[in-house]
Amino acid sequence: MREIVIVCLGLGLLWACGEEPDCDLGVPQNNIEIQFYSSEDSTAQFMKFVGVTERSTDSVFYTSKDSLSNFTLNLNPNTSQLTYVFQTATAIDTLTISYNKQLEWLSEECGPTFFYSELEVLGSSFTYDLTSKFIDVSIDENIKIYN
Amino acid sequence: MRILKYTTSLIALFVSWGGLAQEAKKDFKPSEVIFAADVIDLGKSLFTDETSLEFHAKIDFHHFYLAGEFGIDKINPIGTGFNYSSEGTFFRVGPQVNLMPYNRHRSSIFFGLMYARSSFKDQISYSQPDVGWGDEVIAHTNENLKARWFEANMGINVKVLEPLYLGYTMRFKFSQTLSGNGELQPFEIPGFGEADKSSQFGFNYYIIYKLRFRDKPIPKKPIRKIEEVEEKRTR
Repeated sequence: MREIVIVCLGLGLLWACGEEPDCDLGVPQNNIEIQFYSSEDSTAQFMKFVGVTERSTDSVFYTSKDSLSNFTLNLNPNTSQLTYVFQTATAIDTLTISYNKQLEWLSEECGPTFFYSELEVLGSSFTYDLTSKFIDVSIDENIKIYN
Repeated sequence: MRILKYTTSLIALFVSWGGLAQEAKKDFKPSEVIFAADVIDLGKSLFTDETSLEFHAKIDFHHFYLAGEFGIDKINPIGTGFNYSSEGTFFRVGPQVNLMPYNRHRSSIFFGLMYARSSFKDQISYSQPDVGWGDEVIAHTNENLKARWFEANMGINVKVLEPLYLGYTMRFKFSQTLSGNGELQPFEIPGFGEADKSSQFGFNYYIIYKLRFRDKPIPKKPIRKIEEVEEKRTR
């Protein structure tokens, strides 16, 4: 009898373990933060571009309406390498980056989403400084660009 | 007086151990094969779209068992923007020790260690929300996924109606390694559970059939011998 009670208690344990995880989880960061600085005094510098685009697609991130010192640039889940093009009236500059991407699960209900990591700068016509390889909501700045 | 009491106790204990040593003629010749099926998994397979089957067999050697387990897992979670499927098999093998070999109903509590492996494949069709690159459906496939892990398990088998038993096994699965995956992280490893965890707990509820092919007497509990010796001594 005692043993049967123990077996039945196991059923209770089974129900306790059957709860699904909470779906309300933070969606990971899918962009990087670029901050422009003055090359003379290293203070934040507001920039205005005719267009900030990506070379292999027709995606336009910013236009001449935007005057910012911080630019948020989206990462593409279809590729691991992107070249952003910064066009002014007189010059075109580029920034080529690479990153790792992994389609990971938030939960069975929420489904998967892309997680990005290991940001690298492959080349740029700007003078730059990679300040953080991490791609995360807690990161305010990934790349410093001195203009 | 107290020294005499302790000395007598020590002699009694020694005599009882001698008796135990004489009684413990270890019979390693197998006497039964135990077959089990996970009833929760059977229910899932019958009443849901998922196929999940797990079978278990073990053979006895004295108070020990050699256990082997085999299972099939096929899942197909579908949600907003994704359609995922995974299918594969797994096996576990390892020794177990019966911690209750003197039970007159041949019920048992056991502890075991197992090595487990799984082979499976998965695929996903994923609708990427527009984050500046347009809406796109991305497809990924992992054709040859392999995982291995270890388990420490503890369980109980209780006689319901000879030769049928019920029982459960609690498992601690650890040291999981996965290979063969590309950009798609598998959701689940057959037999292990969530693939993004290196260790986790598991639970199986079994219906068990004991096929006894040799009459092996249930050994007497040695502790009774000690008690008898103690009783004789106090008399």
